[in-house]
Amino acid sequence: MRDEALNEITCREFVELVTEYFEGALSARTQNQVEEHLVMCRWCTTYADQMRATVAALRALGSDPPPGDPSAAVLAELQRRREGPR
Amino acid sequence: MIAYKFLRSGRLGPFSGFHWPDAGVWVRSGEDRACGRAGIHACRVRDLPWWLADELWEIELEGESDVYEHKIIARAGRLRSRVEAWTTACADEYAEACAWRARERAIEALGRAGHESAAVRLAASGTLKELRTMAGHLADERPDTRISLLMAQDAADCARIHAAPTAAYIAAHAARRIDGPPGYDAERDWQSSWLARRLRLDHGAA
Repeated sequence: MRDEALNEITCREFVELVTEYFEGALSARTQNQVEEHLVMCRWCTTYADQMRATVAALRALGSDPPPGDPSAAVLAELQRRREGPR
Repeated sequence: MIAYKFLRSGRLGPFSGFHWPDAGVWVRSGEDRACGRAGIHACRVRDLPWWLADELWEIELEGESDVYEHKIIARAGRLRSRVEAWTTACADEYAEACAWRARERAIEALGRAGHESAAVRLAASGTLKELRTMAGHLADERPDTRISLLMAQDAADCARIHAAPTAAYIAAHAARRIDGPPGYDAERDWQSSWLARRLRLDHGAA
């Protein structure tokens, strides 16, 4: 639960906010709260680092389409499975 | 305006990753958005406990600034000089001081609950390791003061693993548990005063 009197966020709230934080979509007040939390919480800092690494790795994959015609390959596989072993 | 700024090793912004130029070189938020969201983030002395990082710098701010509860955001800033007294050893010293403050709160909690002999035993702990062990032991013995005792134990743990911001956070919450929100504020004031005194910061700064 958020401690309104202290304007702090919890680890659970950080996890919920992390995507918006990376996108710069939080209000100034909430962003301050997130960053204050990160200073003192090593677990959430590690989580944020892991999230950043994941995002970077996914971006590095690029957007090239898979080779061949995936829909044809998927349909062929489904057909093969429906027919079952012979 | 003169204020302070914590950076990661190598003059890196803790959140932006912005590489701050040499001291004396102005950074303006409109020209280099990588330096931080909407401006140059800095601390007053009273804000220091919230933003601890590897390096502490004195920073000169220019232009209008937005004042938040625990920070200032200005349009432009330049590093002036590094506060050399802020070192890993100093951070450890600060963390340990915070752990002992958390112990004092636990002693107070025990005293208020009428556990005088337990309070004396906790007060006798002379090292962080002893504090950790005794607080944990008493937390099992005295369940009505368990949370204050576990806070003291956690603060000792944080000091031992060099987690100064977390030790300070726990000490502030330990004070809040005893004295409510004014206790929290007073503890944060104590922490900023400790830093200002130990680092010989210019009280004329922001």
